[in-house]
Amino acid sequence: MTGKSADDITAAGGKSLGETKIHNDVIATIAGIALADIKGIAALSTGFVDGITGMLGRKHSEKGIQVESIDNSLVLDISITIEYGVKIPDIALEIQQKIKERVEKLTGNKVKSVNVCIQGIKLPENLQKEE
Amino acid sequence: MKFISGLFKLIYTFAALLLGLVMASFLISGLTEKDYVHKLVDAAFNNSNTRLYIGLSGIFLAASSLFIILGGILTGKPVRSIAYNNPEGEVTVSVKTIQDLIEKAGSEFKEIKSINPHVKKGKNGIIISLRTYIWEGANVPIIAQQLQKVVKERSLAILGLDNISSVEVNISKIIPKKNTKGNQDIFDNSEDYSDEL
Repeated sequence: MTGKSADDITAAGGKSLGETKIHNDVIATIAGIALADIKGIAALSTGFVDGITGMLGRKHSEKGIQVESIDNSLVLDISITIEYGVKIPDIALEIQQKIKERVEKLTGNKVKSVNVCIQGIKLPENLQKEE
Repeated sequence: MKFISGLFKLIYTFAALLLGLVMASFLISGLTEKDYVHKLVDAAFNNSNTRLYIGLSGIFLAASSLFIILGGILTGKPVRSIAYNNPEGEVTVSVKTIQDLIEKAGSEFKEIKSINPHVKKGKNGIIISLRTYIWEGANVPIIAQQLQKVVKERSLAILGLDNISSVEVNISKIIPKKNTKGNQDIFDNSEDYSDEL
């Protein structure tokens, strides 16, 4: 491999012995594991546009997690469905902080921003039956 | 207003379709011989009645365009998501999420049969418009006021939206109780949350 892929990011501190590249899919997996610890998330979801961009290879993702490398820092887009009763500002901040902390700790790369998209809400079952 | 707007859009779409087909027909040489087109234009231009009809149609189409454009600006554009920033990035909430939460809030009022929320972006913030069906006998001003309060409070507390400029409640229909006996039984047994507001 001669050129640097846009899908990879060089890990900090890896230059003396050679380059270490971490694929964006790995970062998406780390983010996914971090999300598993957070209560109030009903599901990870993939929007139509994300699906298309994923198919075109512009972003790499697990389901509902898109990762982009911009100037050696990472931008993550998280699409989720939340449980009813959860306060969106609180859960969004928790997701952002946990993912940022976990990704920076495990990869050594800087996370520029974590964008959270609330795609839907899982209503209580009794309400869904009434509808 | 909705009927007029719909009519304008229908006519405009039909006219655009017709114009599109005429223009597309230029691709097929057999359909649009040069002489035929010239004859058609000459005939239209020489007849004062035809000129009048074409001119009036043109004015109507131009007026329709303005009506549709201004209508969109004045009533606010429907949006698919609302976004705001926090220190760690952007938070986007889909309109579907907002609608589901509002419908859930509406279902807690025993006086409300159904609620159909619309979210628009206005000049001073987000406008939430609620098309509401209520049961016969409900006190409309009180229900409307309570609904506005609940929707605004939950938009701030659950969704984090602090820029709701207005919550418009449109009572679209009052449903007679005798026609909906089955449904009424359900509401009679349900818990009344409206007193807690």
